[in-house]
Amino acid sequence: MKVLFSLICFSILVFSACFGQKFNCQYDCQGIKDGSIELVIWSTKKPDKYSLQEAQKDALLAVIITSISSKNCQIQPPLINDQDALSSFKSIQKKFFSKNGDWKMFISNSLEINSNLNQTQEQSKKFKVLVLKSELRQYLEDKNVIKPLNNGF
Amino acid sequence: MKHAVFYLILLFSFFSYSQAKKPTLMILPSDNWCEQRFFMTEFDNQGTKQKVPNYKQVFQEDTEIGQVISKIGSLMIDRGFPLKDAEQELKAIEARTAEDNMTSSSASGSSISESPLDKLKNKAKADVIIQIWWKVSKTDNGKVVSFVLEAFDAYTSKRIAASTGNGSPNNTEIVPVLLQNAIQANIDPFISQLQAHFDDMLNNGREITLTLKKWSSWDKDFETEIDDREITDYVNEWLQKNTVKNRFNLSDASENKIRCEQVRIPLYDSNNNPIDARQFAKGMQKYFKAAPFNFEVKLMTRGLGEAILVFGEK
Repeated sequence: MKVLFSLICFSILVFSACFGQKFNCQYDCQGIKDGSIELVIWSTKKPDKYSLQEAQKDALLAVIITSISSKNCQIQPPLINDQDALSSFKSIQKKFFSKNGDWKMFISNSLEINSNLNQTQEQSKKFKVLVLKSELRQYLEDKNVIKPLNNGF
Repeated sequence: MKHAVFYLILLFSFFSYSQAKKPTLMILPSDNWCEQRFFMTEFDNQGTKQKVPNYKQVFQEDTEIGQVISKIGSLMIDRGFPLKDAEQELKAIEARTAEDNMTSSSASGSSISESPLDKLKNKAKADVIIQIWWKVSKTDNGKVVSFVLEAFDAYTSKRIAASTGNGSPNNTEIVPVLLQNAIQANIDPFISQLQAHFDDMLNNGREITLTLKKWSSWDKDFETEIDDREITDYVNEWLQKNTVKNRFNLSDASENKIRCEQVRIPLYDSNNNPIDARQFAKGMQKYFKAAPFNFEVKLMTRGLGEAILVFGEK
């Protein structure tokens, strides 16, 4: 229970630190299947100008550094849950999310879904993004960003 | 050149084997799950009737358990942790003779009763027991799967990881698919906690309980002085030398009994063989058998994580 609590606290800290500076996005976890996690993601800062690529990158970042919870997904801890791993990820983050970066390998499927908030608000773009979480975890383990479960054994 | 290759191979072997061995995991259904599905049997614990799960019947008769264990097993293999097959271990235990199942001391008549789970733990030597529980409920909106995944340290029976949740009502998928989805949703939080436990084990050693008692026929007690020091002091000193980071808790020390809890023992000995409570306590048994003590000490164990040393006779 303590571990779960500290994971959530850490995720909240990371969330506000990483997401707060550049953009604001929100997401809803739709489900988990065969090592993939499906998120519906949208921007709260620039709802009408939010692009598919931004949504895909934000979805990946969300899986990597934030705790995700919903009725369908329950509480999913982030792939990175300690400061050392976060520092390691920061060192590869730019390259990872670059134009020809590896990030594309971990998006399986994504599409825009209609989402008029309501008549008085401007149109908000929402995207459904499927992140290959198992493969992403394996990639981060191979890059020595996170420790595998059998680390030390 | 030949020598260089030889030394390189030697160096490689050293690094390959210098890592600690992986803890072993085994999955079993929880007691409550067995009770709800009527997979219980009566066990005679020295005259007291106890209800315990009948795992053999579970594996032979339940249609869902195989799929659930197989799914969790495949996810654990992905993480580099193959599971011990509880069903096979049970078969091996069955093959034991009736005499083997009787654990009693011939010299003193004392006995230690082991539950079927203790026997399974002893035989399988799994470090972690993963217990699963699920229930499929029918609601107006469809079937809902409630799922609990818990891991217990086989040595201390302490809960080291737990994940629980309810799926969304679903009318389209069949029960095995709903169960698979429930496992997928629960496995990551569960493994995160398991990781924390393994990290702790690697850093601070395995936790066991050690109890020292004396036979009433023994002419000494734990306050008896040998070379101006009480036997309790020697016990304390031995534990300080042999525990990881001197971690142990002398929770109860009287002239007749010493109980040490949260004793952190190394995972492996100098030959990289896994150490359990018996192996660790054997070290203390040898220490007190030698001069200047020359004591006869009987060693008994309960499960993997509790050793009892009885001073005075074997």
